Amino acid sequence: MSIAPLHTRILDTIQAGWIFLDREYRIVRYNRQFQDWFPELPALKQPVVTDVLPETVGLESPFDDMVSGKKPFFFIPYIQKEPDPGKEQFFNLYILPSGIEKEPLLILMIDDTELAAAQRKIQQQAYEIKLMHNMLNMKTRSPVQFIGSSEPVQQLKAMILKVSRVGSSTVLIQGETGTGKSLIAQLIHLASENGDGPFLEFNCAAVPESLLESELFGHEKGAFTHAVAQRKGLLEEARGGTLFLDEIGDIPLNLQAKLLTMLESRKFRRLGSTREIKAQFRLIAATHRDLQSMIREGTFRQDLYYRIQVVTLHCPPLRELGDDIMEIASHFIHTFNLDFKKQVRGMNSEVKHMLRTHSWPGNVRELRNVIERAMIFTENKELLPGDIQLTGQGTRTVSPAFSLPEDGLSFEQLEKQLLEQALERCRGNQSQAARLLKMSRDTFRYRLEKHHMLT
Amino acid sequence: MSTTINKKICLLGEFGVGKTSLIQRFVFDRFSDDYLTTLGVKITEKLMPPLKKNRHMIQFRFLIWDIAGSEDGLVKHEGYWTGASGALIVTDLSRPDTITAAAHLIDHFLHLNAGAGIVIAGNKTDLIGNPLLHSSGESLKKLADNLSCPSILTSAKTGQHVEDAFLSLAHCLPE
Repeated sequence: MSIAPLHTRILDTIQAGWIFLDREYRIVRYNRQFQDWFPELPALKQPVVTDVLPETVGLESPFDDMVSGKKPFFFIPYIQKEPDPGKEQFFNLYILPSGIEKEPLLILMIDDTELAAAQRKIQQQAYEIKLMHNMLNMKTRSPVQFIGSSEPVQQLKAMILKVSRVGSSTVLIQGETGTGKSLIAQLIHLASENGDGPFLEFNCAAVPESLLESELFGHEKGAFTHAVAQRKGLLEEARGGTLFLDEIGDIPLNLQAKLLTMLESRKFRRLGSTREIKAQFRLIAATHRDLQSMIREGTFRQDLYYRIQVVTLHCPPLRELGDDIMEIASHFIHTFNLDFKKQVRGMNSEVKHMLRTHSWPGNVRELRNVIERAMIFTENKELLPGDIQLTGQGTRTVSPAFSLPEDGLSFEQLEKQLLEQALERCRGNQSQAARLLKMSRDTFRYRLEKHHMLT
Repeated sequence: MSTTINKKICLLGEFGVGKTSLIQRFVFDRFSDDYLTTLGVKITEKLMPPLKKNRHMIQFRFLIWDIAGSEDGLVKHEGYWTGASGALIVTDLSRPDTITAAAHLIDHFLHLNAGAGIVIAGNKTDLIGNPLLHSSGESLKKLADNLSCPSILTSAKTGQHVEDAFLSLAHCLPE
């Protein structure tokens, strides 16, 4: 019996497809299994191996090395093939010298689909989790930014930068609801020296009065009925960072006094403790309320107000930001593209007009919700008017251009009335009234003085 | 009359950068948002348009090896890389670490296939507007400049510059 048939018989005992190649790397022999996988093979007359197995293209050099005995074998694991649509098979390809003079190379092809499928399942789950984690990371890595290039936003950005450089100053942020007070607080924190420290945000209006003190100052075990364990308060947790107290106007008077003492002495005690703890954080407070009115009404302490308003920043309402509205809307479109796996590239001119003329009583928060809703339902490449749902009460009527009455008017009288109305609408706040009339505070005061309105 | 030459092309890069999606877009002009991990290698053929090289018209038949990515981008198996004429190195613009890993990958690939053509793709430009993409694009360009190879920003999702990436690779290949 010759060696070749012995090879064949041994090879047939393993479940594999096999082929022998001659010195020109043509397929000269193959078994039934291999033919089952490549039924076109009998029709081809001693084809070059690369015509049947494209996996071997470019392997002339390792083939030569194996024939000359320089290389023991060559292995390509998990080659994925799809013999029928939807039917995936995985093969391991072993190429090795046969020891037969005229057929020097042997290729073994072994079906390993079962093991590969199991391995793939595990890999799929692991990578999916990692990709989702990355997507979340991408969002958090995106720099916190205050979008806009309008004059009020530019001024605000400049002030944020200045304030952040002075680490210890207390900051009061005022503005209507939804204008981004929390975002400003974060920006001040991130740009400050303590930017790596903790940033704790706490909404004073969201916690019952009875729990507020313990939340802020912490407590010792047994300090009150349900104090079953010692607990650090936010003042302590914020050490080395920033504590942002939103809706500070909602803090009850008794706690206001305690907060003031802490700010003055930079020390505090946990409830039920006699040990003083150093307050080592920056306090940023915010409110949408008119604290000066509250002082007049006796619901907010004047001394605390003066203590926290060392630096006051005003968040302009969205309706005053002009084309910044488009910029902010585009930002939200991008964000929701990521969230909802969509490809919306912007909004058409009608939508832009709608957004520009809406009065946005809910400010940026409202805009965000409007865009989110539109992004959930839209099937368009850009947002169209049908995608946008604005609340009726917010529709801003754009005043027609002012026209001079036929019998003329007293300009001085008109100016005085405008100043009075602006002051009234802003409850006496000159800075806000000046902004309403689109002029600087100095110009506003100059005009007040001119009309003997300066008190 | 042009000659058709088979060329082994590897698509390399970390898992989830979009190698399979780029091939699906380039060869079949289709895209799916669903992520299906590649195990081992899948080979797809594509006859490239004829091009002129050294005054000769030649036509490449690309045998595109879609090689499974790994966490460090290095499926070092010799069996996958040996004999390749070129590689499209795929990075994900939303994952800056995939760009960093690409440098290592190219180094290993060229060690095994000296003289092979390399093109670096920054994929997923469809994640429009993200500030990260801008900085990633710059890192990618820097890497490509250092290696004196072309870089191209692609989106398998929208098809943006996908064909350009493969055509660019065809031009870089040794004959």
